[in-house]
Amino acid sequence: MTVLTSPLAVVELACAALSAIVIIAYLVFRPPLVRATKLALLLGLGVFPIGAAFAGNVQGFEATKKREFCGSCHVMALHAADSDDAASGSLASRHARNAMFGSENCYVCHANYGMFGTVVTKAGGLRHVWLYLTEYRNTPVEEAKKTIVLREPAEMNGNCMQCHSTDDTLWQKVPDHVASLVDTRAGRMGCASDGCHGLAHPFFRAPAAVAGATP
Amino acid sequence: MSPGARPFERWLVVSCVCALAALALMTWQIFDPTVWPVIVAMSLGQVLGTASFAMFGYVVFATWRAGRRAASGSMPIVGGELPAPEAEAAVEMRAPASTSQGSKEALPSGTHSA
Repeated sequence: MTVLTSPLAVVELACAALSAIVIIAYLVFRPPLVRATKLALLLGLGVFPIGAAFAGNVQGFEATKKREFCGSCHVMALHAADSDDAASGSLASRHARNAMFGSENCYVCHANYGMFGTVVTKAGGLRHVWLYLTEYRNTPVEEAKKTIVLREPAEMNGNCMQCHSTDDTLWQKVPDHVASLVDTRAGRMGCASDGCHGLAHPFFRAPAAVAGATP
Repeated sequence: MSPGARPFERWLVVSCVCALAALALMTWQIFDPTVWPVIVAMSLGQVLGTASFAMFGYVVFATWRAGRRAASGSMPIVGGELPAPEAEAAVEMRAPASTSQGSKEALPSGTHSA
């Protein structure tokens, strides 16, 4: 079973099992509420559940980085499928085949960087959940892929430049890079655009190109 | 268990049920790490688990307070807490003292009032 390969999952399951044993034993036998019972319930209702919650939350946060998680909303199914496609030449798929990105390629490319990058990214994820519940829950995939766009496309170059530094001499040896250096750094010219490295996803379009799109 | 302990017992049962539900949600996200299980576990699961622990804390505090009240004036409290049977005994000891038969009958045998 794949979940048992994660130590956090094992800890969560162990704590949950121990807690459940204590709680069910109390519910079945209903011992008098003496000091020993309180101590047992402290374990069953306090210590073990807190351990399960801690391990489960960390495991949950790790799960939110996985492509499987991102693709579990139906409107992202095509994006995830393209990343999974080893024959695809899209930027997303090519990065997914890189061990540095792997199964977390959605998160690595779309996460905000900086001290509070993870928090900002998770807050943005909650916004996605809200939009999904209010607007996209019943949207057909074919319609969604035409209307979902990046909210801050100018920020995406910054994510590319985290690895592909524009200060690197190799990067600056490319004449097109030198010509577009200022616009690239300012986000006015996208690395992932038709004229440069191609679209990140085969069906992706810039917000300006999609009338009535919801970022 | 004394009649006064029954409301506490009900709180404990609710607490246990909440804890089991929270654990089930937290375990669900491990086996199905997709959007809804993870979000539900991290929101509803946390709320249920916290509520469960808070209810348990309330019961512990309430029984401790009840034990102290029952024992106050009639028994010295050692260690800050009375086990439930002792608290019940304390309640039973105090009950005759409040009746119209007088405080003399409430004194343990072998003692003399002034």
